[in-house]
Amino acid sequence: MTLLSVQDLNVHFPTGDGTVHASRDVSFSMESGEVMGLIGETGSGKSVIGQAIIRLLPSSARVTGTINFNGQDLTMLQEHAMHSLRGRAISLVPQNPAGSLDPLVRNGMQIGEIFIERGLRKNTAWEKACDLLVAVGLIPSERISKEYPHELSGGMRQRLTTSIAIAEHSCLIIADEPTKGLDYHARETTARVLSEIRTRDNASLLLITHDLYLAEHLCDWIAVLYAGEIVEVGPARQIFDHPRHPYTQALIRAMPKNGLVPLDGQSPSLMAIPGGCCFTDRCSCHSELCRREHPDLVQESLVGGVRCHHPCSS
Amino acid sequence: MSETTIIFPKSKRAPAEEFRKGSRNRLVREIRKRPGFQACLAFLIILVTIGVIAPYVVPYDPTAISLKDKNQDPSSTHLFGTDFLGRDLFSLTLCGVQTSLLIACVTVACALVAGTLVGCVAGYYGGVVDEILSRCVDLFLAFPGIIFALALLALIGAGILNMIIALTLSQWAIYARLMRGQVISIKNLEYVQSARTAGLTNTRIMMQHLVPNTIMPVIILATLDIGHVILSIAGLSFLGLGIPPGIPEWGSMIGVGKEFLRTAPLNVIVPGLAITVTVLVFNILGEGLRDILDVREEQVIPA
Amino acid sequence: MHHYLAKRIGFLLLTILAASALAFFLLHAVPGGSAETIARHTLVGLEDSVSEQMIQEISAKYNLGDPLWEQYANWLSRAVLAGDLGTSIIYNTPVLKLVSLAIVPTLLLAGTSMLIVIIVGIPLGIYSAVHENQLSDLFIRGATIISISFPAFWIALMLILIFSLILNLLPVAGYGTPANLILPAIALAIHPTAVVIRIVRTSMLETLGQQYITFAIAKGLSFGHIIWNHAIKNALIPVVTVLGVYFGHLLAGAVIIENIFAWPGLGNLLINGVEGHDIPVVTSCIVVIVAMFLIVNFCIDLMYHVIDPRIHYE
Repeated sequence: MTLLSVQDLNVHFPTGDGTVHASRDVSFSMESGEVMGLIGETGSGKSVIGQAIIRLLPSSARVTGTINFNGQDLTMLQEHAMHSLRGRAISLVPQNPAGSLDPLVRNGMQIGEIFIERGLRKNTAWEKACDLLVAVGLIPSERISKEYPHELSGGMRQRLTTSIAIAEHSCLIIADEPTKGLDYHARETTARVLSEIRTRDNASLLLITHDLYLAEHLCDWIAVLYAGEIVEVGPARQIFDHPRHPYTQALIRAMPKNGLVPLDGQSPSLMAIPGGCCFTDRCSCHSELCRREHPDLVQESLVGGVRCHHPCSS
Repeated sequence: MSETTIIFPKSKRAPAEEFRKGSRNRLVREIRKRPGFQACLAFLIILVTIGVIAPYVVPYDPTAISLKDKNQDPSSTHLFGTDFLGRDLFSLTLCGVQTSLLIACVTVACALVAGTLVGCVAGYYGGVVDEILSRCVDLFLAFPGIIFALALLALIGAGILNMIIALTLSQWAIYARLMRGQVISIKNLEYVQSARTAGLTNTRIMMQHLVPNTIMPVIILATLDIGHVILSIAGLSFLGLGIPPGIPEWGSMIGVGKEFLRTAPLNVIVPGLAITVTVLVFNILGEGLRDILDVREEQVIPA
Repeated sequence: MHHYLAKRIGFLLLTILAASALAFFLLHAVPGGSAETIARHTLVGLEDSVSEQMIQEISAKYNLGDPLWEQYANWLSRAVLAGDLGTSIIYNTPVLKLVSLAIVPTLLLAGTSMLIVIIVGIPLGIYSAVHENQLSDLFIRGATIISISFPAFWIALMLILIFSLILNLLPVAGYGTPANLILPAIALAIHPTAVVIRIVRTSMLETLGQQYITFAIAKGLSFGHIIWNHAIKNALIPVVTVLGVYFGHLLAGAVIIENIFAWPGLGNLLINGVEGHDIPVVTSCIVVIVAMFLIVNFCIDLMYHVIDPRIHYE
């Protein structure tokens, strides 16, 4: 059953210096219980999609397109209706755990306040919070629940924010860069916690990351983003074993286990999107057509699609 | 009365990155976006003009006593009426602009120079020098408001020069503290280190690198401080401790006028409004400057 | 922790001492001046001229010819050991008695004004921030920047004009009834209240822009809960420090306000002392005011460490 269906999502920010086109013509869908990955470089517009879904974009954002969640179009919802979805049906694991945790609130209460808001008594809320801390591996939960966020390490804070996201058994969890800045060990633990979420609640997980190892490990379906648009989408195994878009190929080659081959150049500024294919300047097999004409995303169901004039299998 | 200005920074980045020569255009563009700020600038120019030409163009000599005309209501001959000595209130008020602006600007300039120097030296050299200078700064900051100036003027008597000295001593410490904080925040940045390695003398480093890059908040503070010093001058003159009689000054006008508050309220209302308007101009300018110089990104754009 | 406290108290006492020394030297720097005043009050009339011989006599009698530091040491030892702050030249009573009578009215006035600042300023600042750029916010901002520009003594006179002289609702001056307290407390409170409103507003806006507020929304917490439990607490931390500084300015501002309303506090005592060249009174008043200022700031500093769990004692 399709849980989430995003169609032609466009997000742009008008600024004094020009318009930032953070997200262009993004379309994808997710089934219940599926893990979908949005991968790409910093600045490729991945986080914006996650924020658009949970409707937490800055007030300057302009959004067009539809986001269908469980039959409702989230872009059309009244704020109070959206409010009842947040934290319950749709949860977020934020990108910057350190900045996302109120420094004056104890760790246990960071989780517990959700339950107190729903009407639970303080003791019960605190107990449930401790259970969740144990579930993500933050032990001894008694001690940690009484401490403050600044007393935790980066990896522990990441697990804390994850535990907040799974507190209400949401059906859709958006994880924004959950392994950013974490060391190897913390990364492993976070990956484990995230994979347990799916089995625990049969929740769908939208994984937004530039950590390809994590994506390969967890995702069922992957969309590759470049300069704000999807350039390739398909089953995870296929993306990693048989990438067709030159950018995806370059990303895979750049993984440490594949030789850490760097990709030259920079992605174009989101304020000045070039005509034609955005990847042309960095593409090793481009033609005049690529510079002239912007390729469409050619979709084939069950095997995904690619946005390229000359997709090639390596 | 003098109040301490709290600079409440919106940004915590090193100020060096914020105002480079190339962004002059940006400054003009920001000013263009703020009509209130432009109006204030215009008003400032008007004020300064009044300050300069008032003594020459006012209808009456502000010091001309004419007891037979005392405490008159506004009329065609006297726009705001007269005070208890028959002096024209309108002329007195306009001539007061010069007094307040001059004393305030000189005071703030002196306090700024002294405070900036001390703060720069304290912040840059650190160690024992910093300790000693900081204790001095703390000592002067221990006297709230006009207490210090009050005491000093009690000792050395009223007078324009005395007032400037007293208020400068009252105010220099806040500049020192601000400057010290600024210098400390940038002295470990790369370009300062490379200047050191290149062999520039400490004085050179301070003059050429530290001061220009940290001066903006100090300028904002100074703008706001002019307003506060004007209030202090008025307060001290109100008490009879500041400007000698005979020189038009709004505070002393209120001080002598308060006896006739019920019968001739304009004696008090008019100079008070003059003070308010003048200080308001500097406050809006200072706030506007802080707003302009802090603006780096117009929108929040997620990565 | 005790070590830290002892160190801070030590610093406090040292600063009070240094300030008293500065005040003392300031006022005694002109040896002839004191002698003249004393002569005018004790030997001849206030308007009479004082002969050189009289000055010599008095200088010898009061040890005014001694080096300043010696005079200060004498004064200090008498003050600390015997509680003797000298004798007022004008009133011929011990300064200690005058000061102790004057402290209570000043504290009453400053305390009441402080209450007004807190009760009016903080809620209005929060309200202004929450309704950013709406009409009410613009009105409050306009009102505050104008209020900061009024001279407080002028406002006091305007209040007297309107409420005492024209409307006859409140007494013009004096001390003793609650009605006497209203006008001076309001006049004194206007400027600090306006400043506090602005600072609370700025702090609140900055706090509302923080990531932990966005995450709190993502958690599905209600607007009221977020404002109350997250925004206000974080926003008020920097405001607490400011309140300490502003208490000092209330004390300083009280000087002129007390003078206008004939309020028998330290400020009035100080002004009378200044006008009469009553050096012992002026010295003591200044020392007491400075000491109160420093003590209040010290207490606020300690509180600061309690409020914000991120700050540790050294």
